[in-house]
Amino acid sequence: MDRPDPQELTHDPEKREPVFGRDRALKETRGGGDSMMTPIFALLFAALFLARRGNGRAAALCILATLVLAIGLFLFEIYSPEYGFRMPWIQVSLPLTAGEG
Amino acid sequence: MRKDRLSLLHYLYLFLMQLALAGIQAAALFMQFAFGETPCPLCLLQRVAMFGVSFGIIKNFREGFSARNAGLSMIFALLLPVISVRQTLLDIYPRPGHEYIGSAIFGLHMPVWSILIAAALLLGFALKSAVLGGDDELTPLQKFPALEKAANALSVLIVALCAVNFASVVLQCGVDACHTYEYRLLR
Repeated sequence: MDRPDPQELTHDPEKREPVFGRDRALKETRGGGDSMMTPIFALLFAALFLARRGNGRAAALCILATLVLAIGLFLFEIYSPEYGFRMPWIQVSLPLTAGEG
Repeated sequence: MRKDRLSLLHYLYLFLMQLALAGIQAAALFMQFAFGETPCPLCLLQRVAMFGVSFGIIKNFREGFSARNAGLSMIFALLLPVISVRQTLLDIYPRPGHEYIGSAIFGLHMPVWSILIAAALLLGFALKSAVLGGDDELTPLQKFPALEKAANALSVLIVALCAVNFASVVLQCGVDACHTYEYRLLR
């Protein structure tokens, strides 16, 4: 994939939240995954609280569930419908000049 | 006698690691509320990873040393650079929508600091194993009452910091996507 065209990069001043091309609009149609932050922190708090109280097995189950959900949310957050998991903006290529290649 | 001294070193080492983690989490909350720097989703996931490291240490304090607890801590210590390196790479090419948010501390933004913190945590666990050796069958923490009291207080502080984070996430995200420009439930 080519480096993204700067013309595609837009900014939504009303929301005061910058958006990256068509990415956000495309992502918003997927829904679901981005609502997991609150359950993740609920499970994390439960895990820490139970570990502190000495309820080791329940705490371990909660922290494992936290880990799985956190990895899922991380993958959701970094996935771009336009670029997938790739990061074309950090590709480096120098144009070949006459006599090279 | 030697076993007691070695145990004390193990507990002190973990206590200092936990203290550093508590300081980082408290500083992040301070920046959030004092300077209005609402955290992004990946920033919140980095906090989750740091609390995960603390979880293993709390269990070690509560139930005695176990390689399982250390392993759990290291899994989260590994998750931290995965998230922070990706976030750094996302923002490394400045463009609208992808630029470092929040203030820079000593010229470095939070995801870059997270990479350094993760490296320090992994180095900490590696050094502990290399220098102090295995931590099975150590003297129970109860044999060091002053340290036990301090470790318990620190564990309570970590749980309290997580509770504040949980409440903040509920306000910021509700049961929907988290945005960095508002607390959803305070609209």
